[in-house]
Amino acid sequence: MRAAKYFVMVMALCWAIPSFAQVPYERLLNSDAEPQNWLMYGGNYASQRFSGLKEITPENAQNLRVAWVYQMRGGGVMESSPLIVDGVMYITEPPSNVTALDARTGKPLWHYVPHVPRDFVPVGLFPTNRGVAILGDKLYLATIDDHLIALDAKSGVVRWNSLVANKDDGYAITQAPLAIDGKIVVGVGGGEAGAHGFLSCFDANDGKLLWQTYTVPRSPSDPGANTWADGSWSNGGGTTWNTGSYDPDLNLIYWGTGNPVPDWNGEGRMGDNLFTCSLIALDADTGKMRWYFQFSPHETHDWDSSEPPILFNASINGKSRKLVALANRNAFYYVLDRVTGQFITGVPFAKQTWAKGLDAKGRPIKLPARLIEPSVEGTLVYPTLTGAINWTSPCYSPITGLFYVNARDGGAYYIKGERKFEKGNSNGIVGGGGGGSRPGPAEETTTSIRALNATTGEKKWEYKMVGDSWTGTLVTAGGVVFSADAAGNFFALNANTGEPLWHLLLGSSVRSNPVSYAVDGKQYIVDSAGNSVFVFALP
Amino acid sequence: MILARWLCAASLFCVLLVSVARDPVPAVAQAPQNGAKEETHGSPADKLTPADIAQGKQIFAAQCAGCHGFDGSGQLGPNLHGVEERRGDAGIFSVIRNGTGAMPPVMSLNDQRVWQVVGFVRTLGETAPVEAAKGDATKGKTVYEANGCATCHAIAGQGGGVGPQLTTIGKTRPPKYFYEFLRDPGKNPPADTSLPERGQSAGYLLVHVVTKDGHEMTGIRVNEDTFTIVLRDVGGHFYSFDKTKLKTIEPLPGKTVMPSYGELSATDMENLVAYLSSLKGAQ
Amino acid sequence: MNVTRWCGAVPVTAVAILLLVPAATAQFGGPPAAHGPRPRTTPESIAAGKAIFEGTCANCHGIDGSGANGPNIRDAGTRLGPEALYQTLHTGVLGSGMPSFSSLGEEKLWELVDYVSSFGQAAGAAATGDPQKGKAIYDANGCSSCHMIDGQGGSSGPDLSKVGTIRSAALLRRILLDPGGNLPTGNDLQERAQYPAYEMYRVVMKDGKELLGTRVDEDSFTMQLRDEHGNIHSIQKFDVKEIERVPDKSFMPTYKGKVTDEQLNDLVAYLASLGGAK
Repeated sequence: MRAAKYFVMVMALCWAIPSFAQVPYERLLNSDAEPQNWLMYGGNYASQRFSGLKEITPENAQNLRVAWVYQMRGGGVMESSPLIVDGVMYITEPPSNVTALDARTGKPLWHYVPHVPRDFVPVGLFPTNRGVAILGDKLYLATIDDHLIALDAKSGVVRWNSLVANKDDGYAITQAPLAIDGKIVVGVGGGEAGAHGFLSCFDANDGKLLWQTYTVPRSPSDPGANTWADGSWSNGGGTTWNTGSYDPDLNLIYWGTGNPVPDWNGEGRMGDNLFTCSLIALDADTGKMRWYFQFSPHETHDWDSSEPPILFNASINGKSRKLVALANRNAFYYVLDRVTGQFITGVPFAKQTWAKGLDAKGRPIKLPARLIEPSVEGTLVYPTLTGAINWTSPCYSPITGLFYVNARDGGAYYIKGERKFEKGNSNGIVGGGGGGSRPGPAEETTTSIRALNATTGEKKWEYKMVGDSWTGTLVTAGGVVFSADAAGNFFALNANTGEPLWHLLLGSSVRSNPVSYAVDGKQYIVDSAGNSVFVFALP
Repeated sequence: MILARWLCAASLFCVLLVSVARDPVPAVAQAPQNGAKEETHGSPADKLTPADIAQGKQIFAAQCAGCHGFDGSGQLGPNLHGVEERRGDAGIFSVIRNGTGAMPPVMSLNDQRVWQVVGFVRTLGETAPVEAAKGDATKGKTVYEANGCATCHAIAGQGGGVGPQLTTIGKTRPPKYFYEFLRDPGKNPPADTSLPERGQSAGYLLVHVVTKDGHEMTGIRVNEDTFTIVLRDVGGHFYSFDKTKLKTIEPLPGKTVMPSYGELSATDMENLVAYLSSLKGAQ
Repeated sequence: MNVTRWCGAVPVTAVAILLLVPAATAQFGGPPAAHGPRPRTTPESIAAGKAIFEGTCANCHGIDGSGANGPNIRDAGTRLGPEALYQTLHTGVLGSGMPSFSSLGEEKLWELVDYVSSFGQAAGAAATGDPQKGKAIYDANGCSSCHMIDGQGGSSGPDLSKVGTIRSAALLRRILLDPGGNLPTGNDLQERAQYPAYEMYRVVMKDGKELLGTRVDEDSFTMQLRDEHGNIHSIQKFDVKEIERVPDKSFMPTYKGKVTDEQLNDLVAYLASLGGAK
């Protein structure tokens, strides 16, 4: 019997061939060379979320249709950005589950459900997950209760499980880790609970901690401690809750940091509060800080600087420069030199009423405190508490040189509370840190897709949406930008002009970043709405 | 990084409910929500100190007052005075944690904080009783009928469907709201609670549209997204527009199809308010 | 090309988590099922429970509860106690093959509790070999190229980290002697939980290409096969000429005649010890 013969041969093979890694570091390094796959959270190490696929164009986008739908198994908010590796899609489902799907048909291949204590309610964030990382033959998952778990990519079996932080100290993780050469880098959330921010790096092979760098001082002699009055650095903050970027040539990791604690009452922590609301550049081997740039010194509106930093190169005054761009929750778009951290330019990309502008070094020139500081009765300031952009990713096309961002225009009444602080509790939201916000005036908050000249921040076009959209953006080599509005209309825009090309109402809001991939040469676009993953393709 | 605040898209409401149900807080999360009063024996709210309640008040001011008013007497959201009578401590806890109607679940507070809010809310009935309506409700009913209110509003199934139902309006709105509202209905339109995904928008917003082929219409906005808008006319008919076929879309904030009743005599007004305040559904 | 080869020639890795993780009960149970007081245990209630058990439970847990495809539950009564046992029967164990039996109703569930509790401490036939020696046999025979224990090893076969807690020694022995005749149920996908896993299929594509693999999933239009290396093949049925089930086969070789009886006892003892530490 033929099958039997095959079977014997197969068994022999099984014994003979040693295992080797499916996605070695070299594949991640050259991820742009395989646009059919989406190998890491930001698409590439520069977090550009640019797809090199060209099948879908402004001319044919109107023919897009649904290829398949996957409905997740439980409830919760779906914010996962999938990876697609050689025909398998890896998504995460709330709170911290992983599902492998056949990327062509949507059929599930395996599920992994970690044990998460069911009485754990993280403070200040939805218990969800934004994706996994892959390196070698393993997937890396960070769970809401602060474990970093390595899974066998083909079966979902646990290879190792390491503790990143203690949830009882206010830590929670929703981000996708970042995989570099033999290492897994992961940050933490929990700024409203007084989590003391840090970035950790683990050995990809066995889960051993290689280095850990805190973003906020832990002793009076730590750098930055003199920027926190009365030892208030001990409150914590500066969490690292969104995935960062990596420059392999400089061997630097770029990561944004969150708010100081408590959020809306800065009286007990006078000073700049380093290194909160900053972009930090760390040496990937040692975790040592090479430079930092603080966007919002002494922040009091919860405008974290955790937005994804996008790396790109461009010519400035005739000189080729290595740059990093970040559209900040505080409504300014910044361009820095990513070798030195030097400020190059910064302009508002959404409505803001808190700063006159930025000085020559990029430091904000704040309006008088009475106009912008949270107060007991509420102070109206733009942007809103959730910011001009939040965790969803902007994207950058090396073809158009444009930076595409979903920008929010809206204001809120910021409310001040008490300044006292309690570890692991709802500081910053209420009581302990005081305040929060009430919605702004009757005028509704709106969002727009804005295409900015990446080097200058100058707006080239915008596409206005109705409502408060929470969707990231994707740009393709075919010249199409994908995103969605608040109602759940998933749409395609011309990347050069912003002209709408196609849309489809998915029936629930889209709270994740779109991604593109291909199987057997056919291009797909994927995003999730409500509790479903939708995949689109041309007929 | 506050994502889970009450203002946050209410469209998440349904999915969150599921997640909450899967991660229940202590048994109280399953407390009855439909009015059955829960035993308050051993309620964590009983153990709260005055400092806890002060804390709860502060949380309330920051997170709840936007809809319920700083004194809990209701604005866009219902009046909370006496809510402890109706739901019990565990019921209040459950509503905060799980949400109800247009109210999204509050995920950003841990249990202790939620209990502090419960502690504050249950003081509302004691310390700040709702100012009673002064007029005569029976006479107010006559005013209601004489002024044709029933053309647009339904009470216990009787009346029109253009405006909000008033069957239980006395439960959710304090008298002072009625006075203000009857004088200037456009100024303070109720939140749109008919669809959870519209919960953050002003309800009953009048919008004037002109189609590219020259037709015009003014109607109450039922729903709108980037590509479409649906209006309703006073006859209750729905009109669905593709925005690419519209020349202009003009919202008319401050306007409403409901006329002002500022011309009513002071007595009629008091009686009408008393009548509306008396509407609390089947007792 | 219609058959997607997901990892080129990359061998090793993959395949299902076969394990039902007891912790899953705690995770998904939702609110505990309400019930009245437990009725008094009588010889009649135990007999009634036995009848239900043999008709409903024995298929997975073995006629004497010592485990078959499902775990050995002879100590469940003492380990869980009546209340947790009732809840497990009522709710099932999500992520495992164990469904909810709430439809039996409270009375019958209590009878089952009575019967299962009557097993007492008496465990099923204990493994008699030497686990230490068994580990050496496991290593020497290359079991770890297909199976994983505590994160170490391949994944084309089931993870064995806790196999001792969910398989009786008798079943482990039977599997080692005849893997193809004792395929486990698939617990890696809930929607497939009632099907046997690792069923082998031979597929001939219209272009003549042949595939041999275990079925991960199948619907009216597509089929997903896992080959001997754990690679998954996505198959569209309209590209297929022939699909043939290969019964009683497994990628796992038999150890009949390959190891001595004593070695087999040791190997079984080793496997039976896995996960027991918890």
